[in-house]
Amino acid sequence: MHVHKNLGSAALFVCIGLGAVIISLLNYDIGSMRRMGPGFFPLAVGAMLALLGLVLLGQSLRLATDDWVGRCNLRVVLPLMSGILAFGLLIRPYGLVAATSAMTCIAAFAVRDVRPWELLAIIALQCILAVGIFVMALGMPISVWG
Amino acid sequence: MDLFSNLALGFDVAFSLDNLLYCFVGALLGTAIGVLPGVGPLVTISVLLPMTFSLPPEGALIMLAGIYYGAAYGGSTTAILVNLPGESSSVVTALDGYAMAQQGRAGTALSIAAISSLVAGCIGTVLIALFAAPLASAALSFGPAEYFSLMLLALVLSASLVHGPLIKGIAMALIGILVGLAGTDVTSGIGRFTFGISGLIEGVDFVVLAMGLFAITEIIATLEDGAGTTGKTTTKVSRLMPSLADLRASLGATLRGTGIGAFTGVLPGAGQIVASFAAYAVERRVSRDPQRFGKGAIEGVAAPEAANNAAAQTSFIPTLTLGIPGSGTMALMLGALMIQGVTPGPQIISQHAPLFWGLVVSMFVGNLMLVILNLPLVGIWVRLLKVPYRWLYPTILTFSTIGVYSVLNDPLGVYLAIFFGLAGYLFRKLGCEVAPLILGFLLGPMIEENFRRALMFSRGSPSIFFESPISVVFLAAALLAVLLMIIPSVRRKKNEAAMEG
Repeated sequence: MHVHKNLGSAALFVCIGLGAVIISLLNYDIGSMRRMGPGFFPLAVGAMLALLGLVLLGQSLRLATDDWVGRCNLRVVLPLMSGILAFGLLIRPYGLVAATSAMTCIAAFAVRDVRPWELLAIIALQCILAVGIFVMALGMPISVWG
Repeated sequence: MDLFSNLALGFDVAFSLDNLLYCFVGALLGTAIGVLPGVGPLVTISVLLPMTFSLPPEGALIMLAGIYYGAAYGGSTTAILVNLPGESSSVVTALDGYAMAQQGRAGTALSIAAISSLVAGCIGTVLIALFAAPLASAALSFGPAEYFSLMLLALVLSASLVHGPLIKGIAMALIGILVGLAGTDVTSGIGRFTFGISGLIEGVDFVVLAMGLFAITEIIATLEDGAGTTGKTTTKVSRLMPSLADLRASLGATLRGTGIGAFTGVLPGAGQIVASFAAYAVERRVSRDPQRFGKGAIEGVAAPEAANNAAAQTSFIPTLTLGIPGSGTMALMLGALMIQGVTPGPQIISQHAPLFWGLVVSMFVGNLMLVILNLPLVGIWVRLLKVPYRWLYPTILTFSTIGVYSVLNDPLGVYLAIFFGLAGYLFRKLGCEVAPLILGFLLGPMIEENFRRALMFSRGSPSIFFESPISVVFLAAALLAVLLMIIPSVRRKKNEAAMEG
């Protein structure tokens, strides 16, 4: 699917801007110029953002350049995000070593050819660094083994 | 002359063997910890603060100052080496610093950062010595309307940093403001944009945002380029030290940055953040070839580094003389001072002269120590970059993730970082640059606060922004900046239309 960069950006801006406007209108008290409520500023900012998005939309429909959005490389994105997710899920119940190892292991799939022994070495290094620096040297209250 | 006797007193205090040692240890520890991605000066100082309790007041404060500078420099180091700014003021350094690193000029970037910080430190010391009292009272004349206009100007300037259409820059700044507004609204106590997640009550933490938008996005981008395959290292590395040409090019940038930083640093809250962004934007504007910025222009490292150092120094002024901390870090320093039994206020200069002037001079000493410590280390850092990326990125990942986790001790921070990482990836694909977003995030709540207060004073009338001369100057400058950017492109489009017609 070919999307022009500015077109995509414009769509994004309009979505976020409108989202802010709608959330503010529905949930927060807007108030008046004299006494701004919590919703006033987000509403104004969101409205400006949506407006800019529309202007950019208009501009990008007229101009003709080939600034296309590049392909999404799931091979890299998925393992990295899943790895960090694993860390978040494992850190409390299973501790630092488990979480770090899982993250490093899963994130390794983002790279094309990792030999098993190399992966083990990298995981070991990460665990040593993690525990050594954050728990031992800095004394942070993170449980090592869960 | 008063200036010399004050400075002499300061040198006397700062150069005592004890205090020199404290300064050195502080700078060393600060750098070591500040270098860890995801761990910035605030965390560093909080961790090391208890160490200073047993020291005499001068020693404690001097050590804290050393830690502060060390951590700030450590933050710049990671900004340059792996595009992960350690704290808000290193964000701008990452723009050209990382580009330089990718071109194999990491050593030069790191050295220039240290050197321009030192120069700013020297000049800043003198400026403080001369202007401490008048600067403090000038800061007092800044009311909410002036603050608002200044921050608006800063946002416009940061939006001008983008290489694409200005609209995208402003839009990114607005998105940043929205992200910054998430959390509890100070005035009403209501949670905004929290989506029912309890961890968001405090809002999004800078470390979380930085890790997601910078570190994760960068790792994705580098791996996409195929850097993970066997044998490939991140960059080739050329010279370690800046050349004479580099030094000459950075001189103007350093001086201008120092001036901007020294001035904005006195303003509590906005000062330090605005300093580096403003210095960078100004540098780009006065440059003969603005296209170089963002792609490894050395002025793009020298100016913000000088600015944030000068701002760091002058931000001590409102902290010490008015008791108004300029930032979270300053608040910690203030706390440390009070624990030591020293009450900040206008009388601090007269009642605790050795403390005040010793601190001022130790800022200069601290910077000197940083240069001495770090210039030899540059070689080691650069060698670190030669490590194959498949070994490097897990390390960055580990440090950033743990750093983020440690902010709240809640996995929520980690999940948020993933969200911002995906957002950063999307932004990159769409050609949206992140610098204005960060500034919008940092300034957003303050802009709202000042806007609200200004309108409360004026009972809802927007004329208050035009009644103060200072405010008018900033607003006019913002308008000018916008016009300067739109007009060339309008003229170009007219030319294109004329040629086609």
